[in-house]
Amino acid sequence: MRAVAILLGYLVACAVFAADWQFQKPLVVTAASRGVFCHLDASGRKSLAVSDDTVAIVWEDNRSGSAQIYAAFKKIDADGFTPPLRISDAGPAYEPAVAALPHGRFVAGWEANGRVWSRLVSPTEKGPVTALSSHPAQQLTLARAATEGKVVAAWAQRRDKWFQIMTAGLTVRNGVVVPRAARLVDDEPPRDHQFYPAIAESRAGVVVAWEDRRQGATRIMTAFAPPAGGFGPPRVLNDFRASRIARFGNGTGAMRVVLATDGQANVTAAWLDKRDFEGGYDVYATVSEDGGKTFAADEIVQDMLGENTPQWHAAVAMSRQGNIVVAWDDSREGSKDVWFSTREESWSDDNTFPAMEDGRSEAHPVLAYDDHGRLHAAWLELRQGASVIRYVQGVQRFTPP
Amino acid sequence: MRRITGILLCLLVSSIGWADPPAGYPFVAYDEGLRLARQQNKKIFLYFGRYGCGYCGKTNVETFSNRDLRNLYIKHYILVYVDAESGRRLTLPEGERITEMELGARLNVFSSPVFLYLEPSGEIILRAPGYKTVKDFEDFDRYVQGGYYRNQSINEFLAGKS
Repeated sequence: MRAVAILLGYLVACAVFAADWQFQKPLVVTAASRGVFCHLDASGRKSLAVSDDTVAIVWEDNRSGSAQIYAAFKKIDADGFTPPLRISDAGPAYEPAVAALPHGRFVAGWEANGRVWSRLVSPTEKGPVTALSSHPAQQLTLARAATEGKVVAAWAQRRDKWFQIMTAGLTVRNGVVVPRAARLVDDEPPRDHQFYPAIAESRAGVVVAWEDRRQGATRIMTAFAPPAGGFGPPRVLNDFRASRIARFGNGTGAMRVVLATDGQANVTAAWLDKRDFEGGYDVYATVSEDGGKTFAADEIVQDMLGENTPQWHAAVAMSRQGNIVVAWDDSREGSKDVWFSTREESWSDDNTFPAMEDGRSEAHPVLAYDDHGRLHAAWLELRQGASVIRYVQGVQRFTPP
Repeated sequence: MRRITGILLCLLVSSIGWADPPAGYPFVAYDEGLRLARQQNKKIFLYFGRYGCGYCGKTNVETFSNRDLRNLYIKHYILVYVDAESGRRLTLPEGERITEMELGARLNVFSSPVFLYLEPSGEIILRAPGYKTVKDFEDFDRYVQGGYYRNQSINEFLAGKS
């Protein structure tokens, strides 16, 4: 009953409409002064998470004089975020990720000093920092695990001259993040880079996707492990076109894959894909109904109006109810704007979030659904050399049958 | 001796990955290139490549293997190579940290290869996408080094053969 009352209050408070979405008034998460640069930039693009009624956003900026990681929190129905909380100790620190634990607590992670690190964070606490990698590592990503109270992590770890993909489960004991069962996704001797991982875990198992250069061009690969099982052989996720000229090249490129799950067995993967290279990268996506063991044929996400413009920085979210949204930025209208599309039987026409204004560059979206199906989004605004992280939450308007 | 050097250079170029910068050229990262260009007051030749890119490989093998072109470009430019899908970090002069991929997004580089000619300040003089021959690069060099870009488009320049 309380949830219904909150939702009704929320709908009444909604002031801004876009397509069949209803958004609340956008909020500023943090506004940097001139010369300070915020970044929402991490492998898997998991810089926003929701735990019960608490939203957490993590980012990198140089307000202290070097790149460090910060977090800000808000209650879902609050009209502002907490002041930035610095969560990296040493530095410079880069590319943070965050995943939800129950009861308004989160695991945050980042890269610093050539390793990847994590710690428990909440609006009222910071646990000690835990090293996740014993070897040089980068590009940490995190996701809520299928088992409540746990998080799954993936990162790129150097072995000899190449990076490989590692995963681990993370639990929290007495406020300390404890990595468990760290393992290689593909333990074949490396012969080129595997990096930029994304990870998702549903009841069906854990799936990892990453960029793989072992075929002479960047392919998106996935591997799936059932609960308590090992990873199966990697599979190529993206279709690609062979090089058009004899003797040269190994095909079209793809990069920056992201994953999301509804927690059951449905997983969505999205990435940037250059198979139609005249228009630059497009956003492609595919869905899995078996937890990521297999994926359906991939589909282009953006609509025809974005066809001749390169898309960048794709992010994806899936709700517990099975809704899927993919967001990205492109310059189809001259300035860079954040766009999003939802998938039902096919991908919708593209929408923008509220507060998009001329003269600003809006890019680098990050997304998460909460357990009630509300979408939470944040992005980076650049205006005359100053950067702002802006946030909005919204729901898809009910359409009578 | 000159022929042997040329053959060796060609072998070096053809033995590397398909979208690494051509061997034998002193390519540097973008931020280092900006610093050197300002220090030496030289223009920048910026090569955006991509791992697995066919036309990058073709340009490397068929064009950048030319010894005279190599000498000309080393003399006239600070040479910068960017892997358009790379997460390699760069620090811009105003202190912002970005990646090579992000640089491509900001410069709207959506195909590969793309060759950019820049002022020492980083301002773009000329954007030349796609496979290019030795003659193309020699023409672009005359256009840039001769200052014709101040008064003419590249097409006007090439039509007039200044």
